[in-house]
Order: sequence, then structure tokens, then C-alpha cells
Amino acid sequence: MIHFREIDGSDFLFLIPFAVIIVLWTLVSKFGIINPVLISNPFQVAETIWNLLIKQTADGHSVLLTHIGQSYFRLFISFIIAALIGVGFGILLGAREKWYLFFNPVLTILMPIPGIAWAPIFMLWIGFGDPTIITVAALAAFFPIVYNTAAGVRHMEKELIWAARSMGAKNSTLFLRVYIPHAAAYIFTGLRLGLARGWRTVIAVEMIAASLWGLGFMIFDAREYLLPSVIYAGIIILAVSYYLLDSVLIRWIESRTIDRWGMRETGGL
Amino acid sequence: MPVDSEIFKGPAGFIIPIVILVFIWELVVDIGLISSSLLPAPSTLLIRATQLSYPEPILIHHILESLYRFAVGYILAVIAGIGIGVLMGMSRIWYKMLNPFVSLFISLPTIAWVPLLLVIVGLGDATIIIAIFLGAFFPMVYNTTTGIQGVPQQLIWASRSMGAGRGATFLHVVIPGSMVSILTGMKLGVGNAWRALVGAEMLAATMWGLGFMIYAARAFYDIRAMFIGLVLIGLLSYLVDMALIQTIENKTIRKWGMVRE
Repeated sequence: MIHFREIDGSDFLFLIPFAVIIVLWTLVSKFGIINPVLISNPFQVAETIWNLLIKQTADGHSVLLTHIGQSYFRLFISFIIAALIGVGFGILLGAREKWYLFFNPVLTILMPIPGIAWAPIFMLWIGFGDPTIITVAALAAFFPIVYNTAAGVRHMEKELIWAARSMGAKNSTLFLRVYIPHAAAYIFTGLRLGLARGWRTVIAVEMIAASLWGLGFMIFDAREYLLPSVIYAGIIILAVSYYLLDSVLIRWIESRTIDRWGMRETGGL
Repeated sequence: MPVDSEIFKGPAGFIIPIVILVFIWELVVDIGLISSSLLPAPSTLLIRATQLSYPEPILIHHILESLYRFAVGYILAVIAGIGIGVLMGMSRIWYKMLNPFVSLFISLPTIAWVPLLLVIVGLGDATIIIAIFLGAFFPMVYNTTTGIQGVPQQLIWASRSMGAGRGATFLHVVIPGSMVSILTGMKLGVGNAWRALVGAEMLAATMWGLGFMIYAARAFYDIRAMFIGLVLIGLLSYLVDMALIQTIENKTIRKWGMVRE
């Protein structure tokens, strides 16, 4: 989380454990306490990140940026699918009690199933590569979005809906002008959880079903060729790339919507 | 998850919709709308499940192996996570030193550690258990820290000024005051650990475990075993959550009247 506040000297205290880790890592590697081939060392990892960045693919793009771009691309497609279906279905469930009662149990059972558990089945159904990765990630992201959207609509004050209805609002108006803005805090919680779940699932499924590109594939492929420095580099890049997505992109969207509408509150989980 | 408990009209309200959906699923496959080689009917899943349980209890063995790994990794993560979380919650210096790492690693998919563990530790239990540990550890630390920092300073001053020592204040004020958040961490930890378990078993298990079962079934086109694995994984993580988290909730924050209903 980025909080824009004044920065004082204590904010740099994290450099101490950081330096300790770098020094220990270097020493362990240098004196061969753990096989240096397996443990790599910080300088080699930094060099690897740089090399991946400048190395070019056949059509002249950076190898590293292609991996990142592929993972982001899969995440965005699956997230958009999950968000459209999830918010739509969630509002329906929230607004219609009977639908909610009918579908809630099966959602409760399916929701905790990790995305990657679906992957082998979808690999049989639709094969390796993008179709499976995108479908499974969309499925994983769908559940928290539905759940929180439905919860948000159900927690709305009913007077708002009655007021809109009695003033002659059609279903479509109700949907766009009442449900979505008023359940926005919950919907955003759901979207955010969905994005996180989608990301985890993209990376995981890339490990078992990717064909050529993607960060998950890059890390897992490096294992085959025993290139630990690529794995370390991948872990660092993964952490940073999601951090950027969450704290830059999501914060920006939130500041434009729910903050401006004055709807900030703690939504669901 | 924000579930409204008052909406469930008893267990029947929960079971009946599922039974109806399973029935529709059976019907759709039996009358041939969907090929049974793609989507096996529930009845054939039951037959396959009995084949896998008798005469050799293969299924039980998979389940027990997964539960064992889960228990070891999760319990270690809860202990270590509360320890580090208390340290970070109580001390500003430690918080400033460690928090950047926690917020960076908490968003890292746990499965990303698995290839590294495979290289350093190798195939098998150790890798899977460490992955489970890492999955549950970071949300534990984060939520314990947040919980302890959220305990109102006035409560601590009050308790201290009425003569409670540091230890007593910690045990009777700080820990109960942060329990809601610690439980949130445990709950998120269950979900994360479970995901890590399934993922790590697919990539690192050699013989047993539900994740391994699903992954291995793919090689034999045994789609029924894959579905059985999927159902069991969903059911077990639901049950672990119920048995573990709900029990602790009832013994602590509900008894203390700390839950807003």
C-alpha cells in the first residue's frame, strides 16, 4: 500500500535487513555453504535481470518485457471476462432473493477451490496455452467478484431502490445508476481480490500449461535448465510487477471512482 | 466472506439447491447433451470413487497425505507469523525494517517459490510443506501486525496505570484486542496455504496428495478422478475452514463479544 505522506529517515530502516540479506547471500554463495550453482548470488541475479531485459526475441522485442507482457495480457483478458460476468451475475443475485438462495450454496463450495486445480481438466477440454490459462484465471477471478458484488447490493438501503423504482426507473437505469455506484465499494473489493486471484492463477497455470511465454513459464522453464538466477530474477520481477499493478493502477481507478463518489468504506473480505 | 447467516434457512436451504444442480448435471450427461467423456455424470463419479477406495484405500491415502502436509506447514506458519507479527506490531523500528518485505512478498503468488524450492530442496514433502508455510506466513504476519497496531493506546495506558505489568497487559489487553485481525490472518492463511498445497503437489509431489492425483490423472485421461479430486479439494478446504476457524472464533472473539453481526 502506498500512503502519500511525509517521508522521514526511519522509512529507510528496511535497508538494514536488505543489506544483511545481500551480504549473507553473497557469503553463503562465496564460501560454498550451499552449492553456489543452486544458490546463485545477488550480483548474478542483477546481471540476469539486465541480460533478460536487453536480450531480444526473434522479432526484436526484449525477452523480459515479452514475458511480462504475455502474463499481463492473459491477466487483463481473463479479468475483463470475469469482471463483466461477475458483476452482472452478482447484481442479479443481490437483487433477486430467490436467485441468491439457489446459487449461494454452490458458490460457497466452488469458491475455495484453487484456480490451478481446474487447470488439468481444462487442459483436456481445450488444450495447452492461452485458452486454458485465460479460462482458468477468469474462473478463479469470477468467484470473489460475484460474492462481493452480491453482498454489496444486498447491503444497500432498500429505500434507494424503492425511490428509484417509484420514480419510474427502468431495470437498466436501476442497474447503471443505483446498483453499481452504491455497491461500488464492495464491487471494488471484489474486483481487487479477483485481480489478485487472477494473477496468482495466471502465473500458476503458466507453469503447467504455457507454451512459450509468460513469467510463470519463464520461472518454471529455468528450473529445467537449472538456472536459479533466472528463478530469483523471476520472483523479484513477479513481486514488483504485481505491486505496480495493485498500488498504481488500482489506486488510480479508486481515486477516480469511489473516492470521488465519497463511497470509501471497508467492503467485504 | 460476507455471508449473511440469517438467510440460510437451516442446512436444508444449503443442501437442496446443490442436489438440484447435481441432478440437472446428471440429466444433461445421461440424455447425451454433453459427452460423458468430457463431463462425467455424478453417478459415474461415485462409481469411480468406490473403485478408488476399495479394495485399496487410495483416495483416503491421498487425502491424509494432503492433510498432513497442510497441518505441518500451516501450524508452523501460524506460530512464526504471530511471532513476527507481534514483534512488528509492538516495535516501530522492527515494523519499519520488515514491513517493506512483507508488503512485497504478500502479493507474490506462493507458487512462484516452488521452482526455486525444487532446485534447492528437491522433489517431495519438504518443498510442499515449505510452500504451504510461505503461503500462510505472510497474511499471518500482516494481519497480526495490523491487529496489534489497531489496539487503542488508551486501553494499554488504562491497564498499565491500574497496575498491570507489561506481560499481563500484553496477554489480557493486546492479544484479545487484536484477535479479530489475527483470525482474519488465519482465515486468509487457510485459503493461501490450501492453494499452495494444490499447486505445489502438482509440481513437486512424487506419489500422493490430491493435487498430485488430479495432475497424474491427466496423463491417463482419467477425467472422473480429476473431478473427484476437484470436489474433494473444495469440500476439504470448506471443512478445514469450518472446523478450524469457526471453532477458534467461537472460543475467542464470539465469547468475548467482539464480533459485529
